[in-house]
Amino acid sequence: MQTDKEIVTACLQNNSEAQHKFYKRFASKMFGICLRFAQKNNQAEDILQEGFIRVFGNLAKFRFQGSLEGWIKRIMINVAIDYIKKFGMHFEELNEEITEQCDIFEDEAISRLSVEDLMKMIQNLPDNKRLIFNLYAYEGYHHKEIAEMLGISVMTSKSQYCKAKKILQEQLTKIKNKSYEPVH
Amino acid sequence: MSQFIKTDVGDFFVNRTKNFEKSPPDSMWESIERQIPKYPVTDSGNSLIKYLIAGISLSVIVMGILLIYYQNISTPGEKSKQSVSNTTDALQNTGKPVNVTLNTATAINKTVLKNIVPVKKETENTSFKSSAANTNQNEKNTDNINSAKNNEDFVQHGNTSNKTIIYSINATGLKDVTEIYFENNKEEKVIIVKNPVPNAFGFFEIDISKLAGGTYKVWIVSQGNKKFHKTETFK
Repeated sequence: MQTDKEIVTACLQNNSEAQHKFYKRFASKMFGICLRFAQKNNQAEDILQEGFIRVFGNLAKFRFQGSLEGWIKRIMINVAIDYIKKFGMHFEELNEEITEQCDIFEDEAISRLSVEDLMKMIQNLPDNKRLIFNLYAYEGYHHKEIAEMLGISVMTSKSQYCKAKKILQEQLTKIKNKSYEPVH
Repeated sequence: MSQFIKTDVGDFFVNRTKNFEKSPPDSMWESIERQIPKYPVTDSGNSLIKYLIAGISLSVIVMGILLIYYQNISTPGEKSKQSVSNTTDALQNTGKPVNVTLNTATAINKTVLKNIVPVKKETENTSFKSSAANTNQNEKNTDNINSAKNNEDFVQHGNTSNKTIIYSINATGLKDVTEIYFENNKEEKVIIVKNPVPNAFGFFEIDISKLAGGTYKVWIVSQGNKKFHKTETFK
């Protein structure tokens, strides 16, 4: 199996087979990320396509000073942010911080939920909340960083994140209650 | 009753979906591939080969030049041969009486090729040396190389039965020499050397073996100008 460096070097020599290998090596993982950021699958495909074009366009700049996968992932996230911003993301600026605890009990009903079901719940979040939820919970950005990236206040970022969790909690609770409804 | 775990909603989703992967549609690659830019190909490997070839070629050229140079130094007879040929040509071209015949010139030619040695400096002024043997010739050669500063010398080459006397003129400072000739008292050209070529040590060598005793004026013609060189008296 070719190392990342070997495959990138081959890609930069316009080796189309190597470029295809490069794509196949990272496509599934990156598409999973894109699906989390997008509301619909076709949006995720757009983000993935644009992301890989940007990756190939900047491949010569990659200096192997960090993980190649991490570098590709950052590009995908930036493309996702640009994509969501482009379609009129609106943030409701909040003056007070919402710090409501959002816990759930992982019972059998919730445990039975498939990954696809959970992904669907994330996709169903409003754009702004979904974006902040992804950046904070999955990508490990701090609220200050998110605020700078999106041009919002830190308090808004925190509040939106909390609201996103609240929505997800409600959805999980509904599923739980539904599965424990008494059978008549 | 089973024990339920209380978890933060965010952590729950992250734990369950962080490694989620899904293959994108097959058609995706085709549209991406069309938009991949053509990278400028770095030919560092080719460059290395080019430099290697250039280096080898340069080495071969330098070695060739050195070989030719050292061949010329080690075989000064070749130039003497040419010089004698010029002498022969000159003798053939002149209708005036000369002391050296064509046969003699051929003999000189052969002798010079066999016995040519670097000029030995005898004195600061013109001198004449006649010797039948080449005793300590190598030593003389070395001396000559180290101290050849004089303008002209006479050296006898060969054995007693076939003597060759060479008159040498330092070619240093003489440019484009087209002719060197010896003039007797009757102002007759008795030896003419056309287009003389200096030997490896920078001397014009003129065979005077058959020159009769007497006083001669040596003239050097360069760039169309006749220049008196020296008066020589031979016994």
